[in-house]
Amino acid sequence: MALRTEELLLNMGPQHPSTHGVLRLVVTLDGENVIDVQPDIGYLHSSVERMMEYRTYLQNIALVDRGMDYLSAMANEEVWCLATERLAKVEVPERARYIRTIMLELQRISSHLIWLGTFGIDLGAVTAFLWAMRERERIMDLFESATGGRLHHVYFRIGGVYEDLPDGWTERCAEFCEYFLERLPEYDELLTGNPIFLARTQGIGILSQDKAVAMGASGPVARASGIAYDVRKAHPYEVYDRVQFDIPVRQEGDCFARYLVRMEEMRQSVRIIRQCLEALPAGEIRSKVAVTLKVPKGEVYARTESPRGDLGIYLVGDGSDRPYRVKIRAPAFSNLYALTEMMRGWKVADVIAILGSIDIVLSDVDR
Amino acid sequence: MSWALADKLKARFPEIELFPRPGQPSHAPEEQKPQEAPPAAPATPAAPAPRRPAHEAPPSYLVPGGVVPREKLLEIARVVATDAGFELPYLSFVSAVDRPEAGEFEVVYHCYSHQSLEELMLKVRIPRDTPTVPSVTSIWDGANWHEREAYDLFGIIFEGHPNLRRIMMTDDWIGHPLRKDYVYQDPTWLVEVAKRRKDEIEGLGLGERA
Repeated sequence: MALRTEELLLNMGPQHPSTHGVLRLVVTLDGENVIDVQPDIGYLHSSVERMMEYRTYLQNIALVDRGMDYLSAMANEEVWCLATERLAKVEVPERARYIRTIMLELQRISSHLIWLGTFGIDLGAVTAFLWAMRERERIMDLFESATGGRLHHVYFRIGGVYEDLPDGWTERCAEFCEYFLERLPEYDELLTGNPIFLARTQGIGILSQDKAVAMGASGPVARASGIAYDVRKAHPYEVYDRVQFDIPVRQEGDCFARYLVRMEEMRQSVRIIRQCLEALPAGEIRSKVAVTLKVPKGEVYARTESPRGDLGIYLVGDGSDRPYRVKIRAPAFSNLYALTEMMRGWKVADVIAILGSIDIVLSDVDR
Repeated sequence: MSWALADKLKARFPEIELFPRPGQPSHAPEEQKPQEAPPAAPATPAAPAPRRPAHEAPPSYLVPGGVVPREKLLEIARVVATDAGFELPYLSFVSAVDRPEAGEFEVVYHCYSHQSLEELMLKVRIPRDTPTVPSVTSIWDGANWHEREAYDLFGIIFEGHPNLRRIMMTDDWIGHPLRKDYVYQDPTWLVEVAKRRKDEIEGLGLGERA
């Protein structure tokens, strides 16, 4: 007698602890093998793009902070200010550009630390989470003393930053860099050489280079698949053309490669921060821009390298003090689409590892 | 930010209407008016140009590209994505801009290459009452979700899309939230629930105390 078999539809989320927010995955299983994955998104959709049409350019800084990727608020502020500045032709003073770069790189480290911690928890290594939070706490303190906010800073302004750095901030930031570089080898000891960690990540969830480009993947996900591309190098903004740093690229395209790329990115971020701290010029921090800035008619597409990838804003101005249309090109949205390709053919237990390795923030996916 | 690629595309497909470039006078009739202003006195050559309010300045398009006719979109997109000399295999996003005063949507495609670092923006103008446009998912796989999003939030129908469903809003949502004339409407199930709750509360005699 033949054994009757059938495919099993497994519903994961939207309240599953490993989905990093409210994401629902509808997984089609054949035994333990994943045949298909359909992510169901939109649980966190707040129509930020619509809300932005009702706010002035200045008010929108506070909105992109929380309406988009809430783990890297600085990166959101940056891309919004960049788009507005390019369309309205606003100059940013030197000192502000250096400060922005420092903040952006601190934000990258802090965002990667959250990813590292949650990725560790997904795979059963709780220690990594506690350690990552300990390091991130120092960055939060730095943010708090400079901007007043820990998660949502509203620190960047169109044409500069809100306030100058407080006394002694640069010294504390340099101290952090030193402290953090000492801590990084501990993570290597904990995870990089860990046989359990390797078994769960190495060779799992492979995304080929062609597929990564075709599906619109970007950031560390694309770099782990062999695409040597970083917006900071290709289209430098702020002072990225004046600092030395390398883009880590891996050819494997698996979860472990994505892990290695992000770990190396944190080292490179420290390198950028140190150079910026050394070269930090004195002077103005903000050029004079009207509070109700009127942006001329036109269109611009500004893109930046957020911790998650290619973050862009397509801005249509109509000559008034509010944007006519804003399209946010969210990196996690496209990376999540590439997930359907990464998961096909792997075991159900790998679903968690692969999902953790692409580092999504649902607020960025849904907006 | 190079317009070379856009010029090359224009040479191949003359029906493409390129965006006006920065520094180049626009051909729209209403933009010509400021140029007819009386000439400044020649005695003061260093006088700065008078500041014009932002809404009077001619529009500036900072992304190279052009407007493509709807029938030609698939052909042009295929050339842009694969032909030697263009090869932009990465689609940053697909989205739309609502222009109710012109009665049309602008569907926007941003194409890019990691190798040549070239970019090109394609735009298709479609009427608001028949918002259909061919799907480019066969050319750029990554367009799949972006087109679903544009369908969900603007109601643009992408013909030939493999799975054109709402992606952000629920399936029973009424209307398309990013249209300029969108007004929120309660879905039918919510109206029924609200009515039932109201009846229940009234049945308890709350809110009608003497």
